[in-house]
Amino acid sequence: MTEAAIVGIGIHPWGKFADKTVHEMNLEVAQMALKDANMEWNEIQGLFCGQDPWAGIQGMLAGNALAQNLGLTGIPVTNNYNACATGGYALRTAHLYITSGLIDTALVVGGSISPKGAFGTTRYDEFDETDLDSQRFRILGSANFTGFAMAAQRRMQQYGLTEEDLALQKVKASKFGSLNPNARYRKIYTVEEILNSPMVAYPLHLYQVCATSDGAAAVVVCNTKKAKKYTSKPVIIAGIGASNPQYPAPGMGGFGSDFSEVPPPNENDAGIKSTYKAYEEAGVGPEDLDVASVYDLTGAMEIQWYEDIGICKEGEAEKLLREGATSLGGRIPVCTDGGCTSSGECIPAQALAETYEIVTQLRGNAGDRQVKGARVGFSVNSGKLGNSSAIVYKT
Amino acid sequence: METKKQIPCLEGWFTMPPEEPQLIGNKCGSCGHYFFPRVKTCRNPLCDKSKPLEKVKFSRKGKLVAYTVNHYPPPPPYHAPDPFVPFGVVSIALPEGIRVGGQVPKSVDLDTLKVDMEMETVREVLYVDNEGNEVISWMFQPVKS
Repeated sequence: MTEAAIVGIGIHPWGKFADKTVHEMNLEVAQMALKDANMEWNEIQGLFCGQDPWAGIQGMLAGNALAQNLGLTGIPVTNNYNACATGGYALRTAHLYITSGLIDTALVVGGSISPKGAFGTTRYDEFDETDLDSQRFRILGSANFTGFAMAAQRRMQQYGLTEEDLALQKVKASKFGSLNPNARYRKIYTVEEILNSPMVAYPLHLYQVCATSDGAAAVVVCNTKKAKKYTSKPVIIAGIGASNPQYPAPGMGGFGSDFSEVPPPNENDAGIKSTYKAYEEAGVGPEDLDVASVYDLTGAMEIQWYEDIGICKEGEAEKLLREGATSLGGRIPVCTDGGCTSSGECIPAQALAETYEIVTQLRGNAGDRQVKGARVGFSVNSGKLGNSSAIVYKT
Repeated sequence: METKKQIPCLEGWFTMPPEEPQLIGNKCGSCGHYFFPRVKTCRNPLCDKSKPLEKVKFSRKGKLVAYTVNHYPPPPPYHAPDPFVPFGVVSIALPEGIRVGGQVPKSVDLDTLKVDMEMETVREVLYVDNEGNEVISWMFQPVKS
């Protein structure tokens, strides 16, 4: 069977870049990834690009704008938006194009200039009852952090998650972030500083809620048979899954722009499905992972992911964190770039930023945050309305 | 001064006076699943959808699944008062088998909220619109023992 490997990566630092456009950032990371792959743009046979929801029609056609900037070569351009899983879905599509034999090389890009403050909505009519996303803001007063806080609060009741645990996750993330030159926040925080920061939504303090960031990331993917032409260290996409929820849909009623839900067996249904699809395809289990990236929009989410990806049993995630198993030098370091906790979230680019970090780790290029001897890596994310993607990487 | 009108935040999502406060939604005539707000068609992919949806009023009481207190104003179209006042948000499990979100009335002491406690549907002023009308929403408060 044809396999696909990542042969080039590029990233823009995460932060706020008022003087830039998403198209400039996409161009920068695309050129960086091509250079890293020792590949010319005109060797690329397919472009897969995340859409920037905050940049109008040109943002919806971000891939076409990028192709124009790089020079139109007539290749197919696929634009997609799947919330936090946008980059993962783009990579999934590129992977299918390559493994099906349709093309041999692909460029995958995602970037965005995000709004300041909490993510809102781009346009709304207050009385349009079919626009449930706007109505959740107007009627429930539910920003993203509201839903995250409720999930954290429930875990406190169910499994004894504490405010100190949430602070510990931030401390861990900030230590990794301090070692990542592309992270937005490089300071190492103490538990005390975190718990003394203003409350955003109980039990989440300001330093525990991920910011909204600008950023961009790019990946060059290639048929593994041709990968050696471009790099001595190809990273193979050993398994990849992209999933959406199955009815009854996950959630707690109105916090993912749906006002009511039938309680599902697990609220991260799609994230778990993506994970185990990727594991199955790669022929690995959670015990085989050397390094992992999960979607840490809050510390509580990171802790929940430990169970959802199977690196510990249900109800034991807090213990795993407290023991330091997911810190540098631990059994399975998680979010070694500092994650969303240290950089904030840039929706269309975030899944590709995860890929960037895992590829960097498997190449052995992660510097002071390098996980020694990492050979099997994993990244997963899940976002609005349950869009989710997961990838297993091997050297 | 002209008497202020009370208008629902969305027409037909919940009952207005003189009826007691209840959410309005659908029950599928075929599979019996419940939906809030109303749906155009049953959303159960395994349902044969041979019978029409029925309009239903939901039970007023349910159990608290999770809660939080928003200390920062959500983005528009939330109408945040200035100065901002923190408010409670809850998820309630109704006996019909669905979870529904709602705010908590300002009169409730938010420190008293506990998972699994019994909550009831009430109507409260969400905000006052530009014409001075009171915009009403459903909310959930602990059942007074």
